[in-house]
Amino acid sequence: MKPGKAKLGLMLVEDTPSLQMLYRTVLRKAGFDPICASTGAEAQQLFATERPPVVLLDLVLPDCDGLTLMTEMLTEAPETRVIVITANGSVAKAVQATRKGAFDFLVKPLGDLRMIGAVANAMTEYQAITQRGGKGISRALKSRHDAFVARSDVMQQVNTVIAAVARSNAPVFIIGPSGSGKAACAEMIHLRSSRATKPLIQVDCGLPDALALEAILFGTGAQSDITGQSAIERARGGTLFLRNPHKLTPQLQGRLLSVLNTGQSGEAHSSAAPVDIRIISAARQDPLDAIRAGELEEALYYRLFVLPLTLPPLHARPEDLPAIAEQFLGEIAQQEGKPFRRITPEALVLLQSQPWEGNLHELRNVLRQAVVLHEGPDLTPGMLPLAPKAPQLTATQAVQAAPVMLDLDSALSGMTMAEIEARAIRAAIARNGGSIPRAAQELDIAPSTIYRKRDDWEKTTH
Amino acid sequence: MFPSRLDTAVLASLVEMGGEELRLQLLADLRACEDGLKTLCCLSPETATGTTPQTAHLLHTLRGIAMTIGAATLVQSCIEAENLGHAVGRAALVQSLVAVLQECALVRAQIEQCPDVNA
Repeated sequence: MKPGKAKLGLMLVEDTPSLQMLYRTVLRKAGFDPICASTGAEAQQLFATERPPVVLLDLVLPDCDGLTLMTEMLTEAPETRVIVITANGSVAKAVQATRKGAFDFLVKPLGDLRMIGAVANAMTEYQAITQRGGKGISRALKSRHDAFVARSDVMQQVNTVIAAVARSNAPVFIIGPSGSGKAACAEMIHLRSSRATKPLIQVDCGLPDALALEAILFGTGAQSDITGQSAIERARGGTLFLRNPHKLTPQLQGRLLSVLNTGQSGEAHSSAAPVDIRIISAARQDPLDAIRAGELEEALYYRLFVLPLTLPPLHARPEDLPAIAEQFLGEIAQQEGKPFRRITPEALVLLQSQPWEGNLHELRNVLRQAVVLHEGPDLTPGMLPLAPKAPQLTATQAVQAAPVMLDLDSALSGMTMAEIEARAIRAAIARNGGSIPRAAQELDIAPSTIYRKRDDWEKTTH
Repeated sequence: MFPSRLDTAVLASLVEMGGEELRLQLLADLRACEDGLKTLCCLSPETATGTTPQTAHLLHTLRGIAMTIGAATLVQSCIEAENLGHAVGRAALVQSLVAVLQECALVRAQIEQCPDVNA
């Protein structure tokens, strides 16, 4: 008997008497002393009186659904670590449980070591959560929360999913367009998990140099001496955040799969102990597309894509934009030493009318440009390098405004190349509401090119 | 010599760990499942078409025990019966449950023959 383990309570909920007896025996031999329930009602009663920090729960019970019971327990005591037990063939249900906040799942027949390991991990995690109280983590978490403004329904749902998956140890796969906050989301999951005191290591698998990537990720290969300890080793006990895992070469995908299957990092100087890491992956596209394109090994997909989380683009949540913009403005103003205090309502309208194809990154860049070039304290529409939204036309106006198709060759005949170029650029500037950066974007040239050419035209006309 | 209906090494290790008490409980649980399924087979056709929640629960319990003792054929029989679903006719259901009961009886007989570790 190991009294240290027995101090923390453990409840075993299993309705088959022989299996309950077997699991109890295994747990007792490992030093745990579980209280046992054979029905959902009995489990509810014991949970209310004993409040065990860790629960081993069979998902199929005679009088209630195990998932419902788990949800009730987590609502009452969110810090509880629930390990669900399921029969082989019902793994989909176990995955569903994990998505709803289960810490881990075990598939019958239960291996002794696997069961004991899961319980021990759950106990350790419970202790870490209830004892850490780290102010640094709280501050970091608050900062991330602020960056993850969720007034819109869609983002509130995302936050609910984040809270649920943070309790689990299972791999998370974040899908979202560029700039939608995938890294911030990964950081929030990490900070809200019991691994928050351990490292969060990020690796961009899209690095073009496969040798460098091998050295960074696995600590092996020709460049391993340069990079030092592998990301996998550095993430021990914490979280490994993999961006674009489908961009790994087939060989490196195989090695990653091997690490996930065996728990061995494969690094020459690594400890023999299994690597305890939680994997969070992120990509712009659904990884199924990468499988179809032959970029991602199916076996690796199933190891990484357990808990999916989809982030919406910024234009899909306009309600969140004012708060996000205010927050970005405050941060940027502080960094740049400018006294910006607020965004005027007119500027907010302009901001909300934009498509924001670059999402949060683009919004931040636009605000930074405004702050750097102006003094504040108010951020007005004129400071924003954005085009006003085109007014909605009536059907008649739309017909009248429809472009008249001309023979381009005829229209341009007699003009010099400089005149054609000037005309094209001026038209692009007009189409973009006077915004040179946007006109440059449309024409796929640098804004400085337009500024230079504009100076040249002015010199010519004077 | 009949082929083994379960993984004897697994059963031996379970009995070594849980003792005679566990062996007897395994037998009691298997018998309880058998009795429950027999009762369902004998119900009138009007009250027992398709896999009812009670049938499903008994099959699930039996499958969990079978997996634990390495009774692969019994696991398979249970899965086949579980997969019949709600819309299946009574004849097909009973036929499937009978197959489960036959295999369960064989497994139970083998556990009964397992030597008593306390003896």
